[in-house]
Amino acid sequence: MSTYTPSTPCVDPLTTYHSAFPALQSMPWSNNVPPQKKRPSISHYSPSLAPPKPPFYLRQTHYDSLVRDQYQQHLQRRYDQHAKSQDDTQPWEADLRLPSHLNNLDKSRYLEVDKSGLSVSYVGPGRGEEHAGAVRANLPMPPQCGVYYFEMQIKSKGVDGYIGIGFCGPKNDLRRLPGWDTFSYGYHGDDGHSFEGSGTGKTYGPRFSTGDVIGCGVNFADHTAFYTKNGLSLGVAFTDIDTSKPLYPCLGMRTSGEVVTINFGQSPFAFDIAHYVKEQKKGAWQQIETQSPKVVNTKDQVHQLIFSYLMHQGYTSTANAVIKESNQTLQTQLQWDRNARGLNERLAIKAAVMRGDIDEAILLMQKHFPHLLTKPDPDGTHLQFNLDCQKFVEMIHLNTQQPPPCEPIHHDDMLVSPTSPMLEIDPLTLHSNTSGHSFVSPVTTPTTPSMPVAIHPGNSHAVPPPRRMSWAAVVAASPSSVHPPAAQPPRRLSLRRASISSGSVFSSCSSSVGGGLTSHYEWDHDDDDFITDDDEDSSEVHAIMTYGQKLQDQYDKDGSPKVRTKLKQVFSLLAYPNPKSSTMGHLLDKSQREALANQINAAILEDQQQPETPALERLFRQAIAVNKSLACLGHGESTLINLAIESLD
Amino acid sequence: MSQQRIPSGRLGELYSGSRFVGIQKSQTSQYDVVVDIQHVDLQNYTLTGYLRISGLTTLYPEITTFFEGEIIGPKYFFLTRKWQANSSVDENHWRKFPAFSPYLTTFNNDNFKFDPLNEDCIFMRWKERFLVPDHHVDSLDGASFAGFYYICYNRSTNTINGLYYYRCNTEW
Repeated sequence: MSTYTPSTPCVDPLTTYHSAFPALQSMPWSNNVPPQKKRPSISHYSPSLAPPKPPFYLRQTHYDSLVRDQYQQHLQRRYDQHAKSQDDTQPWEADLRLPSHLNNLDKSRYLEVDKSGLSVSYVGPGRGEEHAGAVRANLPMPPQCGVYYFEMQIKSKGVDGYIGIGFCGPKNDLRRLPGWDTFSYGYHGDDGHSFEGSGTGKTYGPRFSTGDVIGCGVNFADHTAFYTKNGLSLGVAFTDIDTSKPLYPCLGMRTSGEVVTINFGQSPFAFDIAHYVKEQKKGAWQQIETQSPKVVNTKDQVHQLIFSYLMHQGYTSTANAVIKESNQTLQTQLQWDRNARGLNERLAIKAAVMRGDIDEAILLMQKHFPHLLTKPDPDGTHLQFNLDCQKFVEMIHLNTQQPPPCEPIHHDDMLVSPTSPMLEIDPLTLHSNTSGHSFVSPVTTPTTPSMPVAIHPGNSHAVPPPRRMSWAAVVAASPSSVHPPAAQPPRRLSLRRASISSGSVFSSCSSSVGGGLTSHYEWDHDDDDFITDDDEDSSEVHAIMTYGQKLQDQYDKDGSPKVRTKLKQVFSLLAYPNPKSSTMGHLLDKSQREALANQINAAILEDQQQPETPALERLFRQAIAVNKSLACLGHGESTLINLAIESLD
Repeated sequence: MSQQRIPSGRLGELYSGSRFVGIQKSQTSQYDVVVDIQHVDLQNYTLTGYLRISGLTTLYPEITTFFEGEIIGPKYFFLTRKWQANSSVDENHWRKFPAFSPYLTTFNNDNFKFDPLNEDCIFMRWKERFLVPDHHVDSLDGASFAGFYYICYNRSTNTINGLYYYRCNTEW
């Protein structure tokens, strides 16, 4: 009986989990879990900050989106100072990490795992069954995967090639080959038998030897496992696997000289697992489609759903078409719904908002649903406020769309940079010697060649409008007079005056820019002053300014933080000569109109005791939510299907 | 004139219809044996034939079995991996053939290759499958064919040597 010295474990006494999520770079020594002790509870693991990268066959699956969500959530929690309570919903607690390497601490003493954690060799006596040894992976296969697959390659079959590949529970005895004990499953190379919880195997597949690549896939949807050899599937090996308990990929060996490398997705697989996953998905969808719903009058139900959705959105003519399609009893009901009170008004308001005609919308609202305007939302704003802000935005939008008319330009005319002056302020202050960025219209050429002409790539206009005044210049201009004086200093003064008169919010916003803008003015001090545009243009701007001030006065006293932030955002649009390309440019998007329209729509419907969101939408949301929570809980079939993405394809 | 040729079905004196006569020895006794080769398939490295033993049991003076053989080469390796023979069993048996001595240490290596077509010695494993004429019978009293033979055929001397192995037998 010879003494056997176990291989020196190279343990790195780290307590944090560097074996990252899901660690395609493997660092086995950092995983500190001894096999005998209970695994630390899930909540103790702190995921790495690296964004998750599942192996390719799991991309585009529900698992992928779960993993991303979890990652986002963790990032959020990490950086969010005022984090909400830690008892988050269950999904985020689930350990979604994938096995990445073999656990050097969770193996038999007859095996030796190399530094990468992906290669293992037998170093025991190898004289009999009692000399068998097995090793487990570092993490169990998460059922949220839907299908988990890994491969191993026999680098050498050694003396006899008694190699077993499979999976087992966390507590299984590692002096046994996979499959010999309960809750252990294996496929052995010497005889090609599959073993499931007993020492007697069943004929399953071919023997495998040096150079063969054997893959093992666990399908959590139908609780089966299959093997592949050199890229060809060998069929289902085990059925009715209990996937509620954690299952670890496991590898066993018995005779000297056996060397095996394992691949958890770090390298491409021999077997086309992506195709297999797609097939499974297809099967799952087919299963759903062939199942007839238990409701009796499905056609009627469907019509009703569609109809209510159309009515909600306001597509009356399509809704009429649906009525025509449905049967008699349903028709009367639907017609009654259609003639419900307030439909036309709701639609008119919605149409007005979508057009951008906020005044009209406000008028209609005041006429038909005045109480809704002042009803406060949970976040402190109310419809009136939103409408007013939107009106302000619309006015700016209108203004930005019209290029001011052409006029003869003086030779040192300064065109305002169409980019955000915020970005350019610092360079300008720094390079006060240079003439800064000046834009000259293609019509005129710069008289002084020393003036650098820079075409900013962010310019949304193909041809920069010949003369644009910065809003601030207009601000400076408008309160004082329609034709601003030519002298520079009074303009700056008037800017400050304007800012003072506008009140605290406005000034706080413009002063932040004002400081920069004054420097913006610094350099054009060298050149001529701004040439004013037409009366028209500045009178419009004048109107905007007065409206803005009115808004300011109205809501300045409002204590809600949401209101103040929104006001700030909206007013900040003033600071930019070209608001569309500024950071707040999204406010000018049509989608904002849509959002506002939907908000009004929902408010009116709620007022009429009709559901705020159409039933169809709620059904869809419910389905997605159910799909997601089932997937998080590890329900295999649910993870195969990503309802949110695939149903809309 | 087509290029197709019927592959040769002959390996030395192993060909369909060839007959070998000899003796099977066990510890104490010996029996006359006649081997008729039925078919030699060099593509698949297999062969089949009949093995007739006389005098093994008193009840049945002549027992004939049908056997299938694997020719050791690119397809079937020295390592048996079945019939309850592991590598040590294999080694113990193969080494008893003097012609095997060059391969004694290397036969189980991953990169070891053996090509029987160019060698003097053909190594085989013969496994008896069933009795003829009644193929349903599994075994007889006093005789069984559960094990298999390690075979070495010398082309130069035209002799076949064989060793019978069965897991439960400890005698040679």
